Amino acid sequence: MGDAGVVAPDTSDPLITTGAGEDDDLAQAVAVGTLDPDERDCWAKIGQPVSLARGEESVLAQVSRRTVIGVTATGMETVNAEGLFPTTTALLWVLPDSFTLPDVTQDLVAFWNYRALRLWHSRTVTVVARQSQLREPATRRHLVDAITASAFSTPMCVVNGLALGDDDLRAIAEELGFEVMQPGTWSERHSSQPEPLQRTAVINVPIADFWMGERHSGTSRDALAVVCRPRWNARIESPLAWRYPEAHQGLVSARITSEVITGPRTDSVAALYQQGSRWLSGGIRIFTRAMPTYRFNLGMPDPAEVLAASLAARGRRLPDIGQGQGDRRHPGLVRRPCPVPQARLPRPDYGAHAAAEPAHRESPRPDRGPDRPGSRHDHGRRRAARRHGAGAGQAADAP
Amino acid sequence: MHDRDTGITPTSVQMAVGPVHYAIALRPEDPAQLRTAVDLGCRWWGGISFPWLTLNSDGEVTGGTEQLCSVLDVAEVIDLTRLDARDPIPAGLRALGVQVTAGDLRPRWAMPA
Repeated sequence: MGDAGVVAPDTSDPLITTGAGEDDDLAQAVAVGTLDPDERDCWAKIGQPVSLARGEESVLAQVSRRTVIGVTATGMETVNAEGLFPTTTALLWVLPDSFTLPDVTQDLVAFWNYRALRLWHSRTVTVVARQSQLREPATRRHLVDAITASAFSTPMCVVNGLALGDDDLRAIAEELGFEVMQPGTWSERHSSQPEPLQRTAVINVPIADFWMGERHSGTSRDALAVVCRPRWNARIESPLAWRYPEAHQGLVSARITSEVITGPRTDSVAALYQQGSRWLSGGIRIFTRAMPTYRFNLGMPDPAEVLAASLAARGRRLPDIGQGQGDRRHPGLVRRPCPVPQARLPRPDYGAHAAAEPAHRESPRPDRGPDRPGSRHDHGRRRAARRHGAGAGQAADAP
Repeated sequence: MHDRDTGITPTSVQMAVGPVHYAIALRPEDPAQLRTAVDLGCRWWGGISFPWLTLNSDGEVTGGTEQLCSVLDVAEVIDLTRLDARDPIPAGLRALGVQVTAGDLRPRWAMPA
C-alpha cells in the first residue's frame, strides 16, 4: 500500500481491519480486510485512525463500508449494467461460531465472489458474520435497519451459509425479524412507493445467476465533442481526481460512450473507433493511464467499414465491389454512407436533425442485430435465461 | 447542427474511469493463498471486486468461477498457485484467454483521491 491507502484519510472515521498474520482469523480477514502493523502505522501517520475489528464491530463496519476491503470500492459507482436483478437484495452470509478452516473454505470463497459481483451504486448490504455476532441486540437492529433501508425486493434478504443447516439459517432469519419465504417469484421495486415492504427472506438460494450481467463500474463525466470523418478528437477531464504520486502511470479502465459509437459488438468494429478497445456495456473500453485530462483521437467509420469489420470478425468479407458501385450492384448491402452511423437512442434534439434523418434511414443499421445486448431480442433471451438459471428453481419476475 | 458539406456533427461523449480488475487464481485448501488473495484485494483500487478463481489439483477452474472473468471484465489473472513464473500455467487458466502472471508480478494500479 506504500505510504497511503486506497482512499483519502478521514480523521473522524476509523477504518476497520484485522491482522494479516497466519494466526489471525481468516474469516474476519475476508469480512473486513487486512493490514499489517507497518501499514497501520502508515495510515496513522497520514491521519487515518485504524481499529482492529472486535466481535460485532465487524458486522457494523461491513454495513457502513468502513472496512479496509470496503473502501477499495471508492469511486466505483456502477455506471452501466445490463440484465442484473435483483440488485438491492441484501446478502447475509452466516458462519458457525466454531469451525476449522476446511469447514468454511467454500463459504469464504463463495462469499468473496458474491461480494465481487455486487453493484456499488447503492447502500446494499453484503455481510458475512458468525452466528454469535448476530445475537447482540444493537448489531441486529443496525443490520436490519440497513437492510430495510436499502433492499427494495421481495424477498428482501438472502441468508446463505454452506456450513450451516437450513434449520439454523431459518432460525437466524426469523430471529432478525424476517419472514422466511419459499424461493419462488422475485420482484424488485424501481420507484418510491408509500407502503413499506414486508421483511422477507429466503435461505440458501444461489442468487449469483441474477448478478452475472455485464457492467462497468467507475465514475463518469460528460463532454461535448465535434465528430467528423475519418477521425475526431474528444477532450475529457478525468471524472476522478487521482492521488499522485501513487497513481502515476497507474492503469485504469476507461469506457467511452456516445451516440455515434455504435455497431456490432465485435472487437474488430470496436477497433475502428479506438485501437485495442473492446465493447463493454454499450461503449468501448480501453485500459489507459490515470491522467488529469484524457485526449482521445477516435475513429468515425462509415457504415461500409463497420459492415466489413463485422463480417471479417465472422470469417467473411464483403463482395469485391468498387468504390461507388455499391448502390448499383448490391443495393441492399452497401448504401451511400450517412454522415455518422445510426445514432442510438436517445438522440439529441438538434435543429437539423430532420434533415439528417433520410440518410440515417438508409444506413445498414448494424446496431440492430438480434443478439445486440439491450435489444428486444436480447431482453427476451435474458428473461428466459433468468427463469432457467435461477439456481434453486425460482422464477424471476422483474416488474 | 450537422453540416452536410463537412460531415461535422456535434455530439456528447461520456467517459467513465474505473479500476482494472484482476482475478486471483488460488487453491482454496491452502490458507496462505487465501490470505494472500485477501491482502491483494485490500491493496488495490477495486480489490473488493477481484474474483477468486479456484483451481483443483489438475489445474482446472472449479465451481464455474471462470465466468466471473468475462462478467467483471478481468484484465489479467494473478496466479497464486505457482511459486515460479517459469512453471507451466495451469490448463484451466490458459483456457481463459487472458494474460496470466505468477503471484508477485503486480501491474501498476491507480488510486482515486
